[in-house]
Amino acid sequence: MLQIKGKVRYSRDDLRSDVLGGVTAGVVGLPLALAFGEGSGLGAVAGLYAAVSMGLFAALFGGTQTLVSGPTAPMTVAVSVIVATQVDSLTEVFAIAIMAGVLQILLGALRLGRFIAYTPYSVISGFMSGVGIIIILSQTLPFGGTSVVEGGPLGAIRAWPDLFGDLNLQAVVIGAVTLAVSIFWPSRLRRYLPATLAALIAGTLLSVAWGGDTPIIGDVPQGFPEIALPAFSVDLLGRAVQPAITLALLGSINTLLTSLMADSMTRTQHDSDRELIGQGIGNVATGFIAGMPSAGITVLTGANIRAGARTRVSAVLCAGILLAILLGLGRFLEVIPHAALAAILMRISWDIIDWRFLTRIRQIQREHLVVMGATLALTVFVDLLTAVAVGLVVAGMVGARRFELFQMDRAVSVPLLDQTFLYADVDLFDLDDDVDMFAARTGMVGLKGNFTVASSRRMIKALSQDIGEHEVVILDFSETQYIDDSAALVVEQMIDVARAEDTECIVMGLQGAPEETLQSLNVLRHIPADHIVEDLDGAREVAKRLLDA
Amino acid sequence: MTRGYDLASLRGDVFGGLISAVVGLPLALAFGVASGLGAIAGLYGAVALGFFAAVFGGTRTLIAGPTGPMAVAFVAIVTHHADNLSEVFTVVVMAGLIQILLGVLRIGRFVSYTPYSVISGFMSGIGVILILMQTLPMLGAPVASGGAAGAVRAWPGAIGDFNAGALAVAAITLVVGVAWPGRLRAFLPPAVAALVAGTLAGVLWPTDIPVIGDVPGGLPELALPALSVDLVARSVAPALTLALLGSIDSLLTSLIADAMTRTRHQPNRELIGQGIGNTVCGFIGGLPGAGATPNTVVNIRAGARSPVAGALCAAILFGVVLGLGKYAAVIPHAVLAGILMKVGWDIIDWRFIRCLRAVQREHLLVMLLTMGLTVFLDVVTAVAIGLIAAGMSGARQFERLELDSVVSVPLLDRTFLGESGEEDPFAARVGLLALKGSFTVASSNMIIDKIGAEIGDHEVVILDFSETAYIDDSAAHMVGQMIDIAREEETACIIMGLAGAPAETIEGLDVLAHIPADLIVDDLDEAREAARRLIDA
Repeated sequence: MLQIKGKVRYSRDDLRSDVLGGVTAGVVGLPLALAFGEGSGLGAVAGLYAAVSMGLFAALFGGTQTLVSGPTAPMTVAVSVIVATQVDSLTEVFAIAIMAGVLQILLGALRLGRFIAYTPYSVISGFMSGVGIIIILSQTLPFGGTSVVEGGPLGAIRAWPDLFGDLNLQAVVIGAVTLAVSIFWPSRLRRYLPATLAALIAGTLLSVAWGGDTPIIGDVPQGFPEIALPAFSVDLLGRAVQPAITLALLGSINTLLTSLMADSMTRTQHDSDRELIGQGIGNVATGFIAGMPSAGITVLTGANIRAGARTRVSAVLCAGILLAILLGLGRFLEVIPHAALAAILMRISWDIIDWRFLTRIRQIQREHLVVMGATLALTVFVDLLTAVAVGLVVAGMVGARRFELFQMDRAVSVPLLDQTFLYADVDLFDLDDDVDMFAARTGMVGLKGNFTVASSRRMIKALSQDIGEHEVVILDFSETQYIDDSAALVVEQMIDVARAEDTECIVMGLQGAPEETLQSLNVLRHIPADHIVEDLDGAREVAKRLLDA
Repeated sequence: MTRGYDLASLRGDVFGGLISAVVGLPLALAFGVASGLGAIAGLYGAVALGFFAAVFGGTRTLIAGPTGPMAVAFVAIVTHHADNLSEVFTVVVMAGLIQILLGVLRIGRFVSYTPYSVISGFMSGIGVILILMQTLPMLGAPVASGGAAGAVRAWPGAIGDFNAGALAVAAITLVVGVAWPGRLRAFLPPAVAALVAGTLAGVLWPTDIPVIGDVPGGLPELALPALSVDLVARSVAPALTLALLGSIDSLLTSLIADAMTRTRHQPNRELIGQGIGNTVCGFIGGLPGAGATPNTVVNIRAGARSPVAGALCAAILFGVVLGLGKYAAVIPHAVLAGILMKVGWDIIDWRFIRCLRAVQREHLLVMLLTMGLTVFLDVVTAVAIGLIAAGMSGARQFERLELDSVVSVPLLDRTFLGESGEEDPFAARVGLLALKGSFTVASSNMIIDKIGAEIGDHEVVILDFSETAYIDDSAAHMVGQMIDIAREEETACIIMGLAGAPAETIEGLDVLAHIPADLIVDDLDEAREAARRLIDA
């Protein structure tokens, strides 16, 4: 039996909530699925097919109870690039989608899902804003009544002069009306009819009444989607690897970020790896019925949860509603004008842009701004995956700089006076006359807290100077929580410096995770076993022995 | 310079320059030949880069010249633009300009944040590529295109008609290079001994062995790079690769120099010096390069203290270019292959590989991933993915540490508000949520999962930042989510002790937009006041 929810019983109350959520998600989802399908270049119907099959399979096998999956903005951008540049025919896209699905199942099985949660906020912000800008720019063309061109947002801008040359005024009016309705739809009515659906209906009605030769969707296949094995060939397989990896990774990031949002809305916890497997199964199934590669949809998931959804039943119900619309109302979808879909895409994309971040650019710290700006620019001008990768690297570097200052403060180097350290238990008058009371032959280097690559280089410079000044140095790890591989090498370099300066090293209080790291990299190989002690008393013993010898 | 430049410094610099020129010569020849542009290109590169990087660079004892990583990346560019050499050098000039830009923008210091496992994987990968590529000239076959994989694919052909003479000569070179006795190293470095021994064996060997052949001596010709918008657009990606790689390579060598001399280099100035050097290389048809670790090490060991050593080294090599070019013609390719194999072997991080079994799994994965991608894909992708993987696995470690430093405690009304009377003695209408230490993206999602549910249990929640040292953008976002949850649950939030860097981050991202100013307080006493006010209201 498929487990529906963490708790055993599925109550009538749960069902009522799920029905409300599912109906809402279906109604909000219809214009989205059509518009994203159209925007991807695969056609509006491919979007609807995807929403149906992802709703079924991803919801059933996924790891997030309230997630609604289907065509999304990032996937639309990625698919449109693939359609424009990397395939010979549309059926190849579906073969790539199946490969992407298999890769996602693999990612889930390898338990790599949880790592997505470590994507910094600035990177996500730049990425989503970039996706929003791309869609808005590329939709200016169907908005004006021409067809989408290759070359992404820049291609669209280059096509503007031509667009203004033969502007389809009717298309522009229909687009403008759709946009206006979607923006100004009164909030009192939103409970009964979501703004985007109202806008779609208004735009379509206008087009039917007055559209003339405005481009419309046309030809929606009737009945159930056909299951077809896309053409695989060795040649295609080679070419498909890179786009399939792109789709799989983007879909996974997109989905799991949505899952995190669902978590924070519902105060539950999703299972990332299971979610990836569900998404993979969904994308494989979607590929077989010629649907668009998909992921978890943030907008729909939010609507679903707000309407009350509690379990995966709501997402399945949403898919069922969309299937019913496809089967029963398919004929009516044919007259939807492209301009109306373009307007809806623009409206959705406007909301995707992280305005909160962009409107506060002056106040935001420079480092976050750099990360966000780099990710956004690369998203728009290069490609989505490069943008996320570079964003992650830059965010890591920027974070490391912050940590450096922080960690440096927690590395403490102090000289220990012989008088207080070595002869603590000896009466001062019993000492020989030739003992210098202010000598500090022992030094102590304490590493408190976490030490990573961020501080390692600066640390060796700061500490190695001190090490040579003593005859014995105690490396105190008793308050060290975490040491990474690079910091472990710094410890090794400190030991090397000590050896070069003929200073003896005593390692104190090493235990737990830091000990494991140091031992595994064999850092302490030059330290005799009796120089590794547990506490200050042990260190004192060894230091005395070394200094007397 | 802090101290005066005295005779002792001069003696050290002269020795350093001499010995690094001697070590650098065979390497420059070998890398030049390996790149497919000929030995002289390597020498030109060593001269131009060595001189300008020494004069303008930020590491006093660094010797720059052709290096393994740069040669590997450059070979990929040459095979890509094989038909048009002026395009190749346009890429080099652009790479130099990008490096100058990186230096001017002060991006150099960020290179030192590359984790050890990434550097290890990347260096070992380069070593493997060098060794695999040199198997072909060692067998007497010409160098194949397509990097390491191309070389492996060419093996059947090369083994089919291998040149016994080449193999023997290469073996002699390799043996001399590896087994040259330590006592003699002071007088003659092993690479030079190997070059001499191998070349002698090649000259004396009865059969034909492929040799370098005519080396055009004399001054290089100044070639202006081909410039067109189209070419520049196409060259951006390879130039960026070369620039980033050269920067990483140089600054890693600078760090080694720092550790040996106990000094500190200036990373941004070093990048500018490297950039100027590589730009000049592009104009005179020289191999691009970076700070060369083996040369720098012998330079420092010989006593070099200042950039005079590097400039002298370049001058000596320049003399070789002018005068001794003709003697290089008899050097067999197989000898250079033997020398490069030794270089490749030394680049591989054997230290990491030796403790492979004991190394923690996360470091091992990062290292192997970086190495595999370096060999099979390309170096920049490898380093980028290595950095991301290292960041992710580090985040996993931090997640636990950061979670441990979140403290969520209910405050008993009796003790906190000081009320007494008929109310429930165990009521805890106020909760305290303290974030101690530093918080990053590593833990921000988990904290919401773990703490979110507890917020609704109280009427008032105090978010205590008084012991927060650092908060990044994602953690600030997390604080915003906690405040949203509190609003939904109709729990009032009091912000306590927010100061310094965390305050800046939180203000910058406008997280506290919904918190009234009188609920942002300095200490527990003020928080108590505010909580009383809220509960009484």
